[in-house]
Amino acid sequence: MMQHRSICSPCAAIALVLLLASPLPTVAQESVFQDIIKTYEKSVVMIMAVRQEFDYVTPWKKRPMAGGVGTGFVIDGQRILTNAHNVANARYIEVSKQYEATRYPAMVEFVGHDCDLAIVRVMDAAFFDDTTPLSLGGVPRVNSTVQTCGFPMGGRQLSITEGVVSRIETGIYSHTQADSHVIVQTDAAINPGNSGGPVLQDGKVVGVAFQGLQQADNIGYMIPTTVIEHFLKDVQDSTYDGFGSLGADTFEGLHNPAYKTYLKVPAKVDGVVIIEVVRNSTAEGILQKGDVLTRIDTYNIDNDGLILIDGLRLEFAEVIDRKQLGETVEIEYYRDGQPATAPLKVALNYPVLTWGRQYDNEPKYQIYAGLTFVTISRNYLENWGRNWLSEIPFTLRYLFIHANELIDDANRKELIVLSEILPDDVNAYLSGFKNQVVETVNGVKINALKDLPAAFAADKDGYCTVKFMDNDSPMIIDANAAKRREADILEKYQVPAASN
Amino acid sequence: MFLKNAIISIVIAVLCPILQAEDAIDLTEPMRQSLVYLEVSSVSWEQIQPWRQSEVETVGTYGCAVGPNEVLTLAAPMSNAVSIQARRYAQNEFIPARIKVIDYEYNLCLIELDKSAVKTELTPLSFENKYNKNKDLRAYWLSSGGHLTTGRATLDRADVMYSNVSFVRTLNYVLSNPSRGTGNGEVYCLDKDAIGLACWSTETEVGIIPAESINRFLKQARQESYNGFGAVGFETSDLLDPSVRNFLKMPDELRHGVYVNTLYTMGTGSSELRSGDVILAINGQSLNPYGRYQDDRYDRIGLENLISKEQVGSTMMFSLWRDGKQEDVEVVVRNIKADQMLVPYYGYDRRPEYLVVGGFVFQKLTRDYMTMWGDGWQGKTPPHLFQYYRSQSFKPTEARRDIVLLSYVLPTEANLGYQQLGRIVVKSFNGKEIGRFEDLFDALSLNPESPFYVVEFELSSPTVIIPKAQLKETDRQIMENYGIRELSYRE
Repeated sequence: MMQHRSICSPCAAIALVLLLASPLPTVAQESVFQDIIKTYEKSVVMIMAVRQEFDYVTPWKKRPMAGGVGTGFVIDGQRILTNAHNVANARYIEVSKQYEATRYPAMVEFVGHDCDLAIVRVMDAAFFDDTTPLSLGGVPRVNSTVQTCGFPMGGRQLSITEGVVSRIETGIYSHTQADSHVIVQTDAAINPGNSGGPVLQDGKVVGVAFQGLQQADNIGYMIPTTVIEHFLKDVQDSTYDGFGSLGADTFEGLHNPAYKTYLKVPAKVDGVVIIEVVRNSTAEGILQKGDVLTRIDTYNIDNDGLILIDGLRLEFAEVIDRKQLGETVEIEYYRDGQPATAPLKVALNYPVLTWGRQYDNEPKYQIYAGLTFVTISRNYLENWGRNWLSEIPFTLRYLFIHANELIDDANRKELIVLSEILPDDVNAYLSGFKNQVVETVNGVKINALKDLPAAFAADKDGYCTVKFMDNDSPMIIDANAAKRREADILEKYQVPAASN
Repeated sequence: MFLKNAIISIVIAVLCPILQAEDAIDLTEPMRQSLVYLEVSSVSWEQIQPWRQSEVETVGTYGCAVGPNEVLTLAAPMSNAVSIQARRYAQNEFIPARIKVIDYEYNLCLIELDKSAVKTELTPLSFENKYNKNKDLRAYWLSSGGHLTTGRATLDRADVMYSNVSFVRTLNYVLSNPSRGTGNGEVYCLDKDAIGLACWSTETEVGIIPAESINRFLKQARQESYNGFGAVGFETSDLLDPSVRNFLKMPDELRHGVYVNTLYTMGTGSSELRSGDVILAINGQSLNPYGRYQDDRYDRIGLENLISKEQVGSTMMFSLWRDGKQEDVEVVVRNIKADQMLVPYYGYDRRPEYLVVGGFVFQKLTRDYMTMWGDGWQGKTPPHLFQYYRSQSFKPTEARRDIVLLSYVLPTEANLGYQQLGRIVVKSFNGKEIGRFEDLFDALSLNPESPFYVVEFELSSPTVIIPKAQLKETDRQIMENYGIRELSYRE
């Protein structure tokens, strides 16, 4: 181990690159690298998964199956760490090792889609007999050398590529399209199949390779160990809770001295302006629009919303990212010229309509009179295809972008949409209401999908009246006919039950 | 092969004169003194830089005489016109002309030629109210090259449709199998009578504005003031579902009527009808569940036709099913003026209003503004802006006549930090709620003791602070840097 540590210094790492590229490598240094490979070649494994997405329009059906290959690696406790996107919506998982024909069935033990990490368990303990668990290192320095191990496309054996760390900043995790944490960029080739593989420096894992830029050359990203450690700590209690968020939107505009003066913030103090607080979040009641957030724990926030942490310039949310749900951060903010501090509980703080893509979360539905109701989610909206954001019906686009501002009812937990009509005599005239968002049923406000059955049961004079958002015409359903036809409709369209 | 082709040619050559002799009357000769070619130069204003005129555009279009010096043509090509020149058959010189009356809803325009430049008076055409389905029509126009040109098409049907310049649906005749694309004011004739002006065309069809609309327009255009015709002030949805009819407690024998869904705050019916009414009949014409009536001449056609032919200020009788019983309501015919809409549908012949202060560019939200997003703009414009267009355009209120937005920021040191802001709706300026564009100008003088202008926006946008100190100098620099002649324009 000491030997490995010795080449951890940046100079030694650069030398290693140079030596590897030279025609006459020094025997000693090459053998160090060979040792690393030899030690871990059985510990970096290929993960094959058969995945099947849910159908968010008609949830009792499932989408076609698809297979995929990714990488994982053995860590302590006979666990395999990999990317969540390798095993998302997996129906069957198989793991295999270098130079070994045996395929080992496996299952997902924990998955964190918001950080694109998962732990996979292999049922057969013998799998681990010839593996050596990899251990985690720190955050690598910019311009230091790293090696990427994995099973990228173009072959079946373990592939190792080398490059340097190009930059470290906060960025989007493309698996959910909405979460952002620290990302480490490297020019070591990261290709499809590399996902979930370890990025090594000095024989230790400094990241999990997970995404790349399609239109660019040699821009690959890894998940740093700060995020990995958060994930591993999170699952110690046997459930994965996820990363918290501030629960408020900020504006980085205090570069303007007049704005600062208006908000009565001293000229030498930097910060960001709160422009919206998420309803039902832990920030509600603490922060309000117009507050200036200046500090989080011990880190001063600059006018770009960045803090200096461990020698890195990262978004201030990094402080929240390093805490588990339920812990607190201390925030300092200015209101009416007065600084104030408050403890803020770290929580998910999801808005009523989250932007992230969901996985492994079976969508719920309710059917009444052949009308299928589901909760609006990004997955549902993505049914409109590649250009879904410009092609979805207008009300859905408006809500997706501005739900937190438009829905001012704290009881509203979900937005419910009429996703599909299973054609029948009872709904023959109702096709115009498809894809509209439910406001009330028989006068009862619909705050979540589970509110529907009771609301439909409260029909008046034999009719159910459904009001939709942004539509002055009510939908009228003959309640008796609806009851009469229910069994037939479910049978005709092979729906196992009116709800799940 | 050659022989076969020759035979076919001979057969066609023999047949053609026979067909023509039977079917068509050629008006080429008499039309020479009635048709004109019009060259229209227009200038509009940019939306993104409302202080800047767009480039001059010149288009050719067709017109026909309706008076010794009067020419009828389409309204669409006359929008933003700055110069109109007419040319007559076998005459080379241009005759200057000016617009007398323009109605974008009817898509018709009456122009007057400069008398001093007219050597011999034009021969006015009279438009005859004829609608003979399946009859062949002939089209005539004076081409840009000075040729009297003809085309033909078959009269297929009548329908109410939107013109490409307005939000009102009016009566069009649709012609099928046109011999060539016509849609620029060509005169269509049935036998020897002019029956309409071509206003649109596709590969397979041509639309014409029929004589009845033309004559109605001309009659009013020659009166002292032109008030226009009725526009529908509500939206309907079909009433096919028996469950809904039962729910509305409509008796079984009432099988007709259309449901009133949304009411505007302008247009015909807007103040007399209620959401949830069922319109059973208008002026005794019974409406079917789709909102169409049985026209004596045109068969089933949309209720818009009943309203768009009535003069503004006249009254109509609406028979309604309201609150479980039948009720007759007198409705005053109103039109809708684009500039009075909450989000104006068009701004022809007008300069956009704007205000630049401290580099912040304030403008009115209009449909023209949103079309800057290009093809498919409906799906690309910021949804909060599009929402006003989509569901509030026809619903201005006393308190809210305009949607005023911060369009974007011209970067300068004074607006540091705000330079990425834009496309957001102004809620208040110096504490004054902004319900119309002119409110901005009033708000500028509020809170004179404050060192700032304070602008608040709808939804979650930051407050904009504009320091008053050195504002004059900042504005002067902005004018110079960005080439702006005036910092504001208001009507």
